[in-house]
Amino acid sequence: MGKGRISNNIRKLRFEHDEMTQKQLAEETGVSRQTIVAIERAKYSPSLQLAFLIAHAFERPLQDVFSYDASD
Amino acid sequence: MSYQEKKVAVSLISALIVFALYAFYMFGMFQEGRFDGPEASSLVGKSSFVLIGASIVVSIVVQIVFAIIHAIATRENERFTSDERDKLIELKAMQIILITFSVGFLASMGVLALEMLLPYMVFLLIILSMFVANIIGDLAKLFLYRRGF
Repeated sequence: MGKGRISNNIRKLRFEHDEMTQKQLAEETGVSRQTIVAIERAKYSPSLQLAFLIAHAFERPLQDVFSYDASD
Repeated sequence: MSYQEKKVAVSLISALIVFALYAFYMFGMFQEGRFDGPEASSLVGKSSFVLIGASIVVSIVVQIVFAIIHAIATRENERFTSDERDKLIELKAMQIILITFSVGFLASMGVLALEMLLPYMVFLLIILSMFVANIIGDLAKLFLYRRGF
């Protein structure tokens, strides 16, 4: 599986959620802040479970948070 | 530098110190001529148990002391458990450690097959392979944490 195919709107969604910090999101999803940073920068693709947890934290469906581009 | 990166750096430094002490101890025995007799391989075997035991104890103590100092210095409630990315990095590092050690082990067997070194020296070469593999594993972890994954 190639890298860079999965993009996300986490930064935008954090901004829309009262400027939620990366630390707050990390605490809500049970991972480290560094993991959130890596996901936000598309350097790490989270597991399906963590992806759902992040989407749940923003109260959005998964496809609003993550998108997959098959053409890359 | 994140908590996990600092933890790996501390582990790397403690491994280097433990191995330096082991090398110093073994070199001392070598200079005393204790490896000249037939008990050379037995001495290496005994010393390897001391090295492994000391490495485990030092590693645990250093990590506990580091966690305490880090908590006092940063006054942050860091997570001490690892998440899925930490586990993936750990697995990747373990893969690198096993490959490196396998290369070292095969090289040692090659040296033994060609009778280039005495058997006790080959055992020392295997111990050195273990040490180098662990150092490379820790460096790989640092690299992966820096890169993201």
